[in-house]
Amino acid sequence: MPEAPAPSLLSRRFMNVFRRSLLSLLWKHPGVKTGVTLSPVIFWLGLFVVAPMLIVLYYSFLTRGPHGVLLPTPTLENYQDVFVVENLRTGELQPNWAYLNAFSRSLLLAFSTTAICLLLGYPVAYWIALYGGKYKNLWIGLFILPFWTSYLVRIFAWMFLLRDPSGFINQVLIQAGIIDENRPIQFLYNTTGVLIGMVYTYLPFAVIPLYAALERLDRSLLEAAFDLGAKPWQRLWRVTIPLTRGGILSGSVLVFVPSVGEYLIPNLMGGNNVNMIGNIVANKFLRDQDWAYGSALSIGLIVLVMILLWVYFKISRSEQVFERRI
Amino acid sequence: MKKTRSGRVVGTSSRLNRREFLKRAGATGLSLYLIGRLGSRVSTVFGQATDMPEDLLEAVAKEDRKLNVFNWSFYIAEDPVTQDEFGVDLTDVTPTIEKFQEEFGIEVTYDTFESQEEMLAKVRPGGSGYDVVVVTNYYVPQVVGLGLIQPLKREWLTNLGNLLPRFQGPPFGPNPDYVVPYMWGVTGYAYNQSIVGSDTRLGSWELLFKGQEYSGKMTMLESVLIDGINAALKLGRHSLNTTDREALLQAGDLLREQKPLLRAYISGPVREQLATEDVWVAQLWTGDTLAAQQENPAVQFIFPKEGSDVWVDTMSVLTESRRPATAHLWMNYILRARVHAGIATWVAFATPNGASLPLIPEDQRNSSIIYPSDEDLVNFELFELPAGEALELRQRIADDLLSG
Amino acid sequence: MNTTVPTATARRRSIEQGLSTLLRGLGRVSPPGLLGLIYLFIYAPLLILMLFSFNAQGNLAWWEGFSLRWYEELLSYEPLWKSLKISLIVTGVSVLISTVIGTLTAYALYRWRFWGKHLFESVLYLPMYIPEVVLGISLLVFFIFWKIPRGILTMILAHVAFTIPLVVLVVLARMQRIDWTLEEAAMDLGADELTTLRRVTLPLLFPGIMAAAFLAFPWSFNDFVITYFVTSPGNAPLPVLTYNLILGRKSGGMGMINALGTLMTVATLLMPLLAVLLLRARRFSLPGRRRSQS
Repeated sequence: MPEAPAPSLLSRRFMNVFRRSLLSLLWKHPGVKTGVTLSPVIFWLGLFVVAPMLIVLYYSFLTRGPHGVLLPTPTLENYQDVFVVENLRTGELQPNWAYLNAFSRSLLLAFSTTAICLLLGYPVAYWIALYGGKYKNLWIGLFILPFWTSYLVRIFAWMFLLRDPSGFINQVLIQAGIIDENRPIQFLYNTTGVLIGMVYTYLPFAVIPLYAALERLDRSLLEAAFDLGAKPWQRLWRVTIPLTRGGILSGSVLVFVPSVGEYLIPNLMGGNNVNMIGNIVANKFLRDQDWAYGSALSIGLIVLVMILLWVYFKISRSEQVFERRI
Repeated sequence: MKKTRSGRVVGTSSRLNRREFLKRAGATGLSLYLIGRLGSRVSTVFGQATDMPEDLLEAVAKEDRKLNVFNWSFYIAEDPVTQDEFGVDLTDVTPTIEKFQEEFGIEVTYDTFESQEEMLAKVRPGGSGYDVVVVTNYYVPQVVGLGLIQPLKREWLTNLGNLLPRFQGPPFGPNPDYVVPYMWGVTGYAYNQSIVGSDTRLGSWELLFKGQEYSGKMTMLESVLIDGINAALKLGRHSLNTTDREALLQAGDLLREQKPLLRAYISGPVREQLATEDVWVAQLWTGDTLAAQQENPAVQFIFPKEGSDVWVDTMSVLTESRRPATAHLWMNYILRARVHAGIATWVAFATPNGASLPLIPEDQRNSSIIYPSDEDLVNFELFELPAGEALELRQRIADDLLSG
Repeated sequence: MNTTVPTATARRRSIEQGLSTLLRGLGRVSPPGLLGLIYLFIYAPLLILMLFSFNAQGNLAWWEGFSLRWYEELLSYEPLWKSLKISLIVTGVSVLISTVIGTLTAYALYRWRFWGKHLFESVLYLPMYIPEVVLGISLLVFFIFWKIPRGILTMILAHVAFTIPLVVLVVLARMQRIDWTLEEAAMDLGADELTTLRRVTLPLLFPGIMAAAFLAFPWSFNDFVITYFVTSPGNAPLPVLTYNLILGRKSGGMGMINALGTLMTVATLLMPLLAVLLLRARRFSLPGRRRSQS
């Protein structure tokens, strides 16, 4: 190829000019280099993550006017209303149970989801990491694969299984004579349904960090424990689990954080019986057009997540855990 | 011919329309189609539409030949209405959007919502880009109050005369200066005849509120704020439009007592569940009940004797619309007897268009579910979403019920 | 009740057989057995969905006969194609942008110390911590605040924002596994920083960057909650269309989702295969090109 060197020569010449230029001098300065490299991400996240949050924060201090119009008088009333309301009949101040219950329900559901995901995910990660052999990657890949399909399709698939009595599980149980056809088990539109949906959705978030931690586990320590006469459960409890604490912790956070703010699963699988904070936030913005109040609730939810993360970082003392998750 | 036609006499106007149509379709069908597809010589095409006033067509020609419509989901004829499937042949006007595009060379972007809240959330902040938006009557005052929709030019809507007299003004024609009725229906409840058919409480809201033996097999509509509280108000023999604090609180108590009996508060998915007999009793609209009935004949509808709400979905033009003339063209097109009949047939809701009635299939026309008699609707009312304190109270009741 | 359930003894027998096999399997539960159950838990919903997409009746969990009718209805449903196009545009563009930005960010994070790094990192991962519904709504509020009409552009802006952290994580993970002495060697041999970056660092990082793009793709393609809040006229991407079908009152909607779910699952299964093939091809071609240039 005779022309091949030409572009290379040209670019070399260009590079020479560039090298001598002022830009190049600037580029040598570490601050400029970092600044230039990071400017796109700072611009993007600043504009489309931080700025929207700040607007929500700003709105949460505004006064609600008629028709949901926001008046620029600063107030703390929105936050107060999250916690305290007047009793509809007596007019006395009382805790706002509707929201406090939704908050505690969200926490409880997120906690249960996390616990179940860890219980289901640990054996899987353990087995793949320790006995997966050369098919390790295939096994873990097969585990994660279904979670690349549409989140909505997966929820729908579960709804198709869980309905009663026309759902697949109930039909199988009825046909097998295990349950009476007049007494189907209700899985959907209650806490069970929401829990199943959330566990299914967030299971890989637990398995990946667990697997990463177990894979790094030094096997010689297990062998040493074995040689010293430790029973299997002792090896698990005293050696494996403490050594994979980082994975357990980051798995917990990765499951807990998105599930506490879940919105779609309670909406579709909970049938508005199991409303979480996410649903209330959406209701306040969409149904009631009450942006000030909705903003206050959003900030409340963010603060809750931040507190959880702060606790997590205190426990783990290392932010690196997040990077190990992939 | 072009100016307002008296549409009071239903038969006459429908025949006129049909003749117009036949002339248009027969003589110029293909060329019309081709020109419509080319979209370049709009005025030629417009020349065929004899029911559209000249100045409207001129105004449309100055706009960009696009139109953005926002409507409830599955609320327009999406497929051809054929003799085989529906018993009437309205293939010349269905699928609605396609035929409109062919005739006028206007590119329609059609979008749907699942609830009025969703619609309002997208339209209210401005910049939504829509021209024609379907607003249910109970939101009309609020939407007008917020200045979201503009007054209509009645002289452009020559087919308004096709509407039944009761839809041409209050009470059923909600705010006729701003909106044009599209479809109407009622909220009642659906039930499974073979399971709850012999219950004595059938016919009253009581079945849905006190039917202990159907616990876990009953649903209410998703919007507790509107439908839930309305049903409870009616059970307590109050007007839907009451702003009386005690009445609303009482409705809230009824709903709280009812909650343990309910399976869920859902609107969309309930249709399939009625058909599969997962749900036996469900607060629902007429059209959805009919759709479930097609899959399972045991599904029937009840007009509660305590009453409920009659609703009218209406078309309106957003204040910010840059294509008001095209929007009027669309509305006047929908108001054509055949077009409106095609939509009504496909969606199985009631048309307010008197001239359309003779064109829709007989089984629909005679269906007491779609077109209830006046006796069925004795205690029924038009609901108007309250503002201020009564609305806040409703919101509190709904929140306390769903999340408490 | 349940008169609609056709009672076929044959079906009952086969189900009984299946159950007894299952129970026998449970009897001798061993770690691999337990594992099998968990894999079953993961795959069963999708497999059953796929099976019933061929059912003649879309909303029933009992078999009414084989039929391709839902596929016909789905594929002739025009909004589907439009949604698919929108989804592909939004995801394609946003993954491209976020991969570039994310790689730059990861590079800076890995190589350099700078003032406010900790603060920067906590802001960087913000889209992962903030509940999706809050992020979606705040973006909606933001776009309304600045009167930016919602549509494909706003979807891309949002998707880039929430895929960047993912790309950064993946690329960083790759960086930790790279043999950085190669870079030093290049510098020692006289290559300047930019040349080293172009000739050595980027090719080394390439598998990581590709992996990031492949992970970000489904993340963006399947996102519903955030997308739902930032989309508008005629711009419903695939997840929004699916949601409308699930909630909506379209007759036969359930059969159509079964068919759609099947097609999407099959596509998802094929994607990693494609990724592996692409990476292989790339790995073999890279050194060759490098040789020809030097």
